[in-house]
Amino acid sequence: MNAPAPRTFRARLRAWLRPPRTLRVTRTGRTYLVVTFGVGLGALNTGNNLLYLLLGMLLSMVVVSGVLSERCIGDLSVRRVGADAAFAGEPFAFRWAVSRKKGHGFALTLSEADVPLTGEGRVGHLPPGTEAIVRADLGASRRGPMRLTGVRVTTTWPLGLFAKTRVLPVEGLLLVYPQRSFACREPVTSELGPAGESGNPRRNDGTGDVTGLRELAPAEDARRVHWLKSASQGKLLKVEREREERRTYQLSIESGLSGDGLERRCEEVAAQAHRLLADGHEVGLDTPSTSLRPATGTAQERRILQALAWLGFEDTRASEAA
Amino acid sequence: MERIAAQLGRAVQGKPTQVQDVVTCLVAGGHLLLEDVPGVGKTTLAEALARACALSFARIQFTADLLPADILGAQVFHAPTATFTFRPGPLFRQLVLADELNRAPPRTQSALLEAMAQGQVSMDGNTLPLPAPFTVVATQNPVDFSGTYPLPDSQLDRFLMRLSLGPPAPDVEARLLSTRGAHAPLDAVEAVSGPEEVSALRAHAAGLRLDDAVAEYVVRLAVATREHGDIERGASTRAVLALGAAARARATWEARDFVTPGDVRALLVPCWAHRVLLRSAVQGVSARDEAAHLLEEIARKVPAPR
Amino acid sequence: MSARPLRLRLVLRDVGAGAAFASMAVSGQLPLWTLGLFGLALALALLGKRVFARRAKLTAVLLLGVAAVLALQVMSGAMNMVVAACAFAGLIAAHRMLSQPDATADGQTNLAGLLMVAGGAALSGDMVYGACLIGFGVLSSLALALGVVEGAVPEGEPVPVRGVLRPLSSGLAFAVAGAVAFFVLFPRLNWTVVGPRSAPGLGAATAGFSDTVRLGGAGTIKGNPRVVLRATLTPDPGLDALGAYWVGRTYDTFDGQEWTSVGAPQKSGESIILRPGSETLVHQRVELLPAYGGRTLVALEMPARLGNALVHTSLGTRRTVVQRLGGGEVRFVESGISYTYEAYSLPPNAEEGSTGKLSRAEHDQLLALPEGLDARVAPLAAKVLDGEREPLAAARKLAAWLQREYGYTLELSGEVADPVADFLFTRKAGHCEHFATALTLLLRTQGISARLATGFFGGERVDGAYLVRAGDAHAWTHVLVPGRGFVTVDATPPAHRPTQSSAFVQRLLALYEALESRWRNSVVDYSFRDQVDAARALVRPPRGSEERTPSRLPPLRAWVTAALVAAVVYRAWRALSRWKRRARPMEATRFVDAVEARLAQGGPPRRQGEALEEFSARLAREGHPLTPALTPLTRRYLEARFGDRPLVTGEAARLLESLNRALEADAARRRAP
Repeated sequence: MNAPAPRTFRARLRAWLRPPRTLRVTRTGRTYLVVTFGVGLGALNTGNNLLYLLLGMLLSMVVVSGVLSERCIGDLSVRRVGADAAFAGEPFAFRWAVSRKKGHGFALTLSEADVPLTGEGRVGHLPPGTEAIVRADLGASRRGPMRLTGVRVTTTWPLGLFAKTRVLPVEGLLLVYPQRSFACREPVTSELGPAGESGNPRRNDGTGDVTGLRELAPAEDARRVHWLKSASQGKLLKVEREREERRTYQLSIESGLSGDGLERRCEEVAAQAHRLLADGHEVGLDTPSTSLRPATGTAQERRILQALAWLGFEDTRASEAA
Repeated sequence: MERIAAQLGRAVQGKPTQVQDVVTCLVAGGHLLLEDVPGVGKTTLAEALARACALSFARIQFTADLLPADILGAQVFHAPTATFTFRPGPLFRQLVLADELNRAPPRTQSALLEAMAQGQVSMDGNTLPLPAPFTVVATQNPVDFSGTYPLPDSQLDRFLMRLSLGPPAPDVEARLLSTRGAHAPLDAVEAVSGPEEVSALRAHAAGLRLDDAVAEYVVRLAVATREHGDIERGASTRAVLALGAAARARATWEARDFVTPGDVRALLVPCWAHRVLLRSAVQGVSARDEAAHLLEEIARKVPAPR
Repeated sequence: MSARPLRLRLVLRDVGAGAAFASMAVSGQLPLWTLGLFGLALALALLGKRVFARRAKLTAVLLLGVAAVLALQVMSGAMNMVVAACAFAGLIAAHRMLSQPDATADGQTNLAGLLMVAGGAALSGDMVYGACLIGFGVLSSLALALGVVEGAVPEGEPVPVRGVLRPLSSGLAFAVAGAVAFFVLFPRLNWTVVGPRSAPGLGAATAGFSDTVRLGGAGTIKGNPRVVLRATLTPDPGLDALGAYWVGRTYDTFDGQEWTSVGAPQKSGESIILRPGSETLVHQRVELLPAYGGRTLVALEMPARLGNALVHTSLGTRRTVVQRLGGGEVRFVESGISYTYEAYSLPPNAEEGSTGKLSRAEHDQLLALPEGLDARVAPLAAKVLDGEREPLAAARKLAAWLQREYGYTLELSGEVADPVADFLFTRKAGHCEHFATALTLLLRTQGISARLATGFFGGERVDGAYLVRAGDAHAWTHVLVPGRGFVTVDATPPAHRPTQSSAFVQRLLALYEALESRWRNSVVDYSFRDQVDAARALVRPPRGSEERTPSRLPPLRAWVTAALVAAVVYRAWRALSRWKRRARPMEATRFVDAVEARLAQGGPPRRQGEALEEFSARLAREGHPLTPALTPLTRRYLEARFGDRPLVTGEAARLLESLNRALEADAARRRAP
């Protein structure tokens, strides 16, 4: 990263205010503490030694709980393994790999810290020396690049009385694609009509190159029978040929859009691109900042989605590149 | 072996390590999967190999309408004698180039792969042996997957090695430009060996000494892949055997009669990268690069015998 | 959370709740029907039959009914408020155990368990309570922890029970240790604390003392090994078996079947003086345990003063008054679970001087005979005495005769019309009451004043105090000797005076009693005074310890030194064995180590993790000047290590030498330009 800048007083204060561990009392823990308090009062009032013994047990359980959870959550290392394509507004699979050198970890809950990502992953038991892959369905509410700063690890081990949280700093970047929705508008008309040589792999009922042989199903056109192969196999085989129909579309996002309008337009373009690419057409994209040449295939769809996701966050990208 | 490699080097220039691996694969008696973008000389390499070793050669271009009978051969009706006779397909050669293997439908693929595994062809109740030495060099294009039938993982296991040639170095490419017009590269390849010699080499390699420490090293590498967090399915026992065989073949290069850990390390990625199944295909990173990367990491972690 | 909760966790939870309930139940104060209900619920829960799972709300109405019953009992005064609350907590736990095992039910079961344990602390002070407390803590913690892990394990995966148990059990061990440390160190605000005394428990209390002693009936009391009384004596006689008479009361009137006394109840007060004391009184601090079951104060013969009495009830401990009744009996006015008091007795064989305050009527009764006394009794006495008139000598003579001529038995024939005649002339065997009654009546026929005394005989030393068991109950005779007062004469054969229970049971009970008294002294009655004492002992070790009898064991220093030496020896042995077991590096490996060390000093840089083989190959590819020296060396190493052609003697040195030369030449070449 950058050279360490002199830490300002504010940064130091923030670091001090946000210690590496945070502790939250669960509902069970609240009841437990109330009972402990009651037992303590009873012990002091009556001088009943057995109540003192019980109080000692309750209090030392609190201490042991703290020690065990600290041992559980300390000495952890986390890295992000990867994510499926993340679309805004729908859950996507996300994975972390957690490991520790020695000592067992129990009941760990992982989530991304300080970013608007919902969802968490759980791991019940983390033996020492092995790396566990924790899978979670995360949800992002909006499109765009998301800078990930750290992974929040929480445990309620051992007794579920306190939830101890630790944020492990792991830098990362998650690109959230625009929401998958239905495009209301028809795409602009195609720029290029059918082009002879290029086959459309999605339609196998054309007149172009052979894509495969299938057995002839009932109610299918007998003219498609490949007689040579049928004779050698002793059964009717149908030849499938590519349909040589492919159009080229150039989708564009007008400059000057912002806020909700931009989001809506991004979603729409993404949906149009998906549909057109699924139909086997060539699709290109023009945005105020970038432009993509028309192409086909899933790779092109990913390129378009990436371009759409970065739209409006170009300055982040610039700093990323630097 | 050096002679063969030198002849191959004439055809495919600037790729000494890959050429070495190809010959290693031939000597180890395994089949080879070449995976690369079109136009880097996969086909040339295979043909040159056939010429240099004077092996009978056939090239099968796999297409969507290719049926098993097209490669294995078929019973044909012989009118004068009114009997059926078997006309062997192109597979009955010592070196078979299966070009664009993933374009063929799974049925055809498995016919080829079965023949590769068994070394014989079963048809209509007859079992016909394939010529020895029998080697298949298959190629596939990793980029353009549209309209293809990717090989299942279990069948990838049948290939001893998977190699990719990669684009030649700029100076080699420049020299290629200047000389290509003069003569076809394959014409420069001379037959320097024969099928008998290849078989003898194979027998020799199979008898080389594999020290216990090295064998244990191979097993530990396999265990490491099985226990690695990012690998869904680690190296199988067949993978362990394959690595051992390949390492033996590689030892013959330096006229050694024993296998060193260095042989194992050098062949780890070609032999195993296509056999491990990754847990998560990380987006944007191709799975093959990731597998190679992980295997190198494992090789660094597992201590080699000293 | 996985669909099916872990069975082990539920079992742990339920057994934990059971332990919590047991901690209350050992006090013996819970009504029996709650015990039954809880036991039934626990058994059902352990069998996995959660019968209330369907209708949790509806069955909760049952709890309301139970609460109403308990409230009625409290209002009618039949039950203590604390006991009722504890019983209700137990029943709530029982209901939750039988409900659908979800997170709420788990939490409520554990909470009810916690309340039950707290209630148990208020109800009982038994040592079993401590065991139950620890049991509850451990089991419930395990159940909680398993629940936490179970909640985090993705569905379908096994819960790592073994993995959980190990770190958690060490944690729990620390928790128990921490509880003990807290208990010891936390300052008590109360100066003296007397903890709760447990109720008699599940067995019935012994009969104690009644107003009458009736001959006949069954005599099983002799076999009862339960401890009824614990006393600390000052001055301490230091005997292992005290063998003393602990008197409870005396009787002077016999009607042929049973003994009664004529005395009327007298005044009550903090302290009762029975007879004038002398200079050397034996002080006793007596504790009447719950198994005693009576209210009569007991003291060593002859008691002079009784008082300073405390009564322990389930609500606490308070000072109480005692009342003097007829027959020299002193009784607690209030009833409680157990009692503590102090008594002063004349030392044995002391001259009493006077008979104490004996009324005229009481004095006359000492010679009274039952109306229908068998006519053969008086001649028999006269015949045995053979003219002996001195009371004490006569009594001893008769006692010796009885001991000699009559057998001891606990088997009784049941109700007979004249038990004395039956004993003297028919059966010629009986128990202590028969012997004592016969002796008393025989003496009275000869005009010697005597009365029957009941109490205990014995005293077993445990932890510096003396224990008396229910089986030690005994009866004997007081003979009035003019000028000396009453003197004890025991007609029962000496072997049959103390308890008759089996030796094994007695030893077991002695062990339990020792533990229990430790527990009582160091836990239940732990006080600020003890803390101060302990602190003082830490700061300044007691002086007296050095002058004690020299122990045969070596001093602590020696133990510590021995332990240290043992640890060092063990460590050394471990290290040695590991060193011996390590893989012996082969010659080739040592050689390559040397080569690599040499290369690290002055060779070209090597990459991270690059083996010599790859390093050499890389240098060869790069055309490094060191190649001609390094390549054969590497080759030789590989052959030796993996090719089964070991290095010959001196070859390693030669190869290293060549490498050195090459390295020096290389260095010189680099320095030249």
